[in-house]
Amino acid sequence: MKMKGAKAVHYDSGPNMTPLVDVVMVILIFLMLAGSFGAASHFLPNNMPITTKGKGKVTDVVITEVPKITVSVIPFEGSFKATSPDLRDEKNQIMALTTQEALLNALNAMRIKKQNSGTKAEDMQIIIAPSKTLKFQHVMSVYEAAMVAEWPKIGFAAP
Amino acid sequence: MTKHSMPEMKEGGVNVTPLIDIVMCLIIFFILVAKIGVSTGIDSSIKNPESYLGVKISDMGNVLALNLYKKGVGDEPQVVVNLPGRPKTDVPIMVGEPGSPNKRFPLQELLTEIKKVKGEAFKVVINAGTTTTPSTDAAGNPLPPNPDGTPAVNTNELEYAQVSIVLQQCAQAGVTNVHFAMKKGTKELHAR
Repeated sequence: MKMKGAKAVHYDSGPNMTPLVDVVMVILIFLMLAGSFGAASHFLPNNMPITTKGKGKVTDVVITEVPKITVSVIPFEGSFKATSPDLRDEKNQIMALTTQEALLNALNAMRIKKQNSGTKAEDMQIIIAPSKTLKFQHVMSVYEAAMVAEWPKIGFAAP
Repeated sequence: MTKHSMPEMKEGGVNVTPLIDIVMCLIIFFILVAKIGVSTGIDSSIKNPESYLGVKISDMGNVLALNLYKKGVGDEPQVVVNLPGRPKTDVPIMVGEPGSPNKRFPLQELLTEIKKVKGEAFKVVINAGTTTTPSTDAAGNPLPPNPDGTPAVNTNELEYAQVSIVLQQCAQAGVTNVHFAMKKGTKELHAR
């Protein structure tokens, strides 16, 4: 039984916020998925040496020849084989390096040997000489190995 | 005697105002930070080799990306660049017969021109790797999918012969700041 004089209770809920929150959430999810924090970029840098010989020669620059180690790389069994007259084993045989880890260890040992013998950093250079048919990914594997071995100067030779 | 009416009752509910404030802040943050549709000129369909090392280039304004594709024959690659404000352009390495006085090197000329404007800050990014194209028969019609359901595609992997030509053009244009686009790898390399 309703009491006389009692007022009906009504609720002042204000504007309905639910659609606003829904739309805002959708916009937020869109921006999170569609945007990217900067362009996807991951690069191996290379400061190419300037040479006075070969097709890349620049004749108006005076450069001094830097002693270098040349590493020849050829395709081998789906991967690569790297050799260099300067990379020899205990028996003084030229090593045939067929994995990135083996090449890295050999290049690192050579770099440490040169540093211990007093060679200055500006006189330490590796020239990577891949064959024409070597796959680009293997070229980059060899380049990466030389970088991890901390050789100060790494260049590429024309095939 | 005045009648006093009962005060209006408000149901206690959840106050959504702080939630909306925070969500608005997040939206503004993502609008400012995210870069939607910014083109770097790098063709993402080229599958780059993986490398654990690598650097990020924060300022792509001084960078020209050279997308390399293997042509059917010969050592010369197809070089496609995406210059700002222009559609994707195929830039030949050499135009004209070798040995003829009319031969030109459009890629070298383009790099020289851009280097003059941008100076020493100019960087070239070589985007090379593996590309796939749909396999076709002799008449040029696409082949049906493989028995296992995968599409019939040709996988073309770039070789050093193609890359070295582009490196030589960069060297002749005086561009020594050359980067190689890589995919971030997880295999860590350490010397023993």
